[in-house]
Amino acid sequence: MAFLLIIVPLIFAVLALAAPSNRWRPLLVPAGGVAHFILTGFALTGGPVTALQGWLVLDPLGKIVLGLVSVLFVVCAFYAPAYLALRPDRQNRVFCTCLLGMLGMMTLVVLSHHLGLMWVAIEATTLSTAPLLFFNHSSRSLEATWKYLLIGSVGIALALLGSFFLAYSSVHEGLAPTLLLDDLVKLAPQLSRPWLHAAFVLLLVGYGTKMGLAPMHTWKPDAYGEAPGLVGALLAGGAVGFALVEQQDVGLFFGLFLGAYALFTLFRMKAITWKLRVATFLIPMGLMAAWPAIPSLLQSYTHNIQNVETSDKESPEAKWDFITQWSFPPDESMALVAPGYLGWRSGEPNGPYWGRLGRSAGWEQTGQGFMNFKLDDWYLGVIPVTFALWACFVAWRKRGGASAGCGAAPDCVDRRAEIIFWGCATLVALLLAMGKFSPVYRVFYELPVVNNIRAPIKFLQVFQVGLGILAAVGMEWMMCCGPSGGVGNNVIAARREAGVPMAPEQLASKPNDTYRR
Amino acid sequence: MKAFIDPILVVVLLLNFVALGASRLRTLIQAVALQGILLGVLIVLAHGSFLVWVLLMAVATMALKGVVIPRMLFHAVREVVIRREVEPIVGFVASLFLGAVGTALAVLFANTLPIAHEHAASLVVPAALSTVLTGFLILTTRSKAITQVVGYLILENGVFIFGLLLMEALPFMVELGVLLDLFVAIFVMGIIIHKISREFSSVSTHMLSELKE
Repeated sequence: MAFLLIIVPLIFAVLALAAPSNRWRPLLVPAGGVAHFILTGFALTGGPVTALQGWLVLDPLGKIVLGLVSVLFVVCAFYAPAYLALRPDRQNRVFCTCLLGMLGMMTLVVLSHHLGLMWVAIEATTLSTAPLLFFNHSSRSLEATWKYLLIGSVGIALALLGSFFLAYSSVHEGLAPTLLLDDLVKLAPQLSRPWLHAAFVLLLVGYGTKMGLAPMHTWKPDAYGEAPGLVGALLAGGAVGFALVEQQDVGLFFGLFLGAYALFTLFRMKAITWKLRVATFLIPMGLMAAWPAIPSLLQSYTHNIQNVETSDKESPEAKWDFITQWSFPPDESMALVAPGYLGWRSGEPNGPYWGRLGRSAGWEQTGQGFMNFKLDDWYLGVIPVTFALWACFVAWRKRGGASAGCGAAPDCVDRRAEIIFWGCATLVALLLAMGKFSPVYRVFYELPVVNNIRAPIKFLQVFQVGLGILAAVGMEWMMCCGPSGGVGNNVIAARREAGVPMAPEQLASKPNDTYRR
Repeated sequence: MKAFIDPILVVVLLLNFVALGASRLRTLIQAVALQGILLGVLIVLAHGSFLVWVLLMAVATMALKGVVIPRMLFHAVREVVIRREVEPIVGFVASLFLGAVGTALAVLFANTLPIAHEHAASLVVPAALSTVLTGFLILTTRSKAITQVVGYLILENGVFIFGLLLMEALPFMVELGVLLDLFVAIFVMGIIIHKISREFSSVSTHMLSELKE
C-alpha cells in the first residue's frame, strides 16, 4: 500500500510525459488525483501501512497530512484541465508531469520515517515545483522561480547538515549511527547534547526556510503571486485547509458567499463559451463548497439536531430560541465603531459586558439562563467603515455613467459591479448575523440543513471580510479620485509594486513615465 | 589510508580560498570541479576499503561533481555570453579576509563540539563548517546567477564532507538520491539561468528586483 501510494501518481506522471495530445493530457491530472484519493481512503481506513523495515510508515500525524494533501490535490486537479484549456498556447507536458510528480513526492515525504529519505523527497518536491512556478514564462515568474529554487535549495542543504549532526550525535556516544525516526526517538536520552542543539538549530532554520517561516519567508509572496492560481493553492492550501477544518460551519458560510461570487464573476466574463464557464467555476467551486460542507453537515447533525431533540424538543419555538441564542443585537452596531460600547466581555471584572448578545430567551421574565455571553469584541474602526461607505456611495452616485469608479481619472479600475455585489453580500451577512432580531434570518432558517447550525453571529465574520473588501476599494477610489493627478500616478506605482495587474487601457494611457524603471 | 584524509582536506580548504579570490568564472568553476574530484577520493579513503558500492559511490561523486556539473556550468557561461566576469558585492580581498575569519571560527566551533574518539584529531568537522561558510559567502556576495549556483555547490560540498563521518549511517540509496537531487537542481538552475539571460540580456541578479514583499 505504501508503495502504491507513491508509485501510482508517478505512473500517471510518466503517462503525462508520454501523452502526445496537448488537449487530452491535462485530464490525466484529475485521473491521477482521484486514484491517489481512493488509495488514500483505503490507507486511512485500513490496517497499518508500513514498508521497507520501518522506512515508510503512515503514522497518525501522517494520516492527517496525507488526507489533507490528497483532498487538496484532487480539488485543484479538477480545476487543472479547465485552467490549461484557457492557455492552449502553452505546452503543458512539463506542467502536468511535474504536478503529478509533486503529488508522489509529497506522499513520500509524509510516509518516510528516515530523515535522509525524507530530505531527498523534499528536495524532489522543490525541484518539481520550480517548473510549475515558471509556467507563465514571464520575467516576474522567472524571478519568483529563481528565488524559490535557490532559497529553498540552500535552506534544505542546511537541513541536510542538521540531519547529519543528528546522526552524529549517536556516533559520539558509541551507538550505531541512524537516521530512522523511531530509533532516534528510542535513543533520544543517550544522544550527545551539544550535537543535538546544533542539529536542532540547523533543522529549524533549514526546513523553516523551505516552509517559509518568518524571517526566512522572502520567497513566499513572490512565488504565490506569480504561480498559476492552481499551484499557489497547492502551495498555500494546507493552512487554509486547516482553517476550514477548525470551524466547519464558518467555512460553510464563507462557501455560500464565495459560491455566489463565483456565479457573479461567471456572468460578467465575456468571450468564454458556456461550457468552459461551467467547467472553470462551478465544478471546483462546488467541490470547494462540498468539502467543508459535508463534515459540517454531519457534525451539525450530531451536535445540534440530536442535542435539540434531546434537550429542547418541546416545541419549534424552543428550537428557534436555542439556535438563535447568539444573535447580533442591531442596537449594538455602534460597537463596530465605538470600542467598548456596552462593555467588553461577559464575566470580565475590569470591563463587564451588559448588552444582549447570547441572552437566553425569556431571561427578562424568568431570570433563567444567561443574561448575556460574549467573549470577543467586534470593533472594526471608524476609518475602514468610512472607506466602505464611501465605496458604496460612489458606486451609487455613478449609477448612470459607464466609466470607472470616478469617471475622470483613467487610472481607476471599474469595480462598480463588484462593489454592488459585495455591498449587498455584506448587508445580507449583517442581516443574517442579526438572527432572531431580523426577518431575513427567519427566511434563511426555513432552509433544510442550515437551521441546525447554532449562533447566527457567525455571519459577522463574513460581514467583516466583505467590509474589508469594500474598504479596500473605497480607499483606492479615494486616492485616485483626489483633486491632484499625482495621487493617481502614485497609486499606479503602488499597484505595480504590490503586483496588481493593470488593464491594457491603463497601460495605454500612461505611456512612458511609469515604465521607465 | 586515513592518514591521507587530512592533507586532502587541506587542499579542499585551499580551494575554498581560490574560489573566494577568483575574479574569472573559469577559475571559479575549475576550483569547484577539483573539489568535487577530491571528495570522490575522500569517500574511498574514509571508508578504507574497496567494496563495490564504495567505489561506485566515489565514481558517481567524481563524475557528477567533478565533470558533469562543471561542464554544465561552462556550457551556461558560453551560452549566455558573459561580459563582465565575477561581480562581487564585497571585494576579493575582503572576501578572502572574511573566508579566513570564517575558517578560524569553524575550527574554534568544531573544538567546542564533542568529537568521537576515532575522529578526534581529524580536520573533517572544521573543513566541513568552513566550506559551508565559504559557500554562503559566495552565494550572498556575488551577483551573477551562475556564481550563486557555484556558491550553492560549495555549500553542498561542505555538507558532503561532514557526511564522511557517517558513511555507515547513510545507506547507499540515500547518498545516491542526494547526488541525483543535486544534479537535477543544478540542471534546473542552468535552464533558469539561460532564461534569465534571454529575458534580461544579463545574468546579474540585480535585475531580479521587481517583486517585493
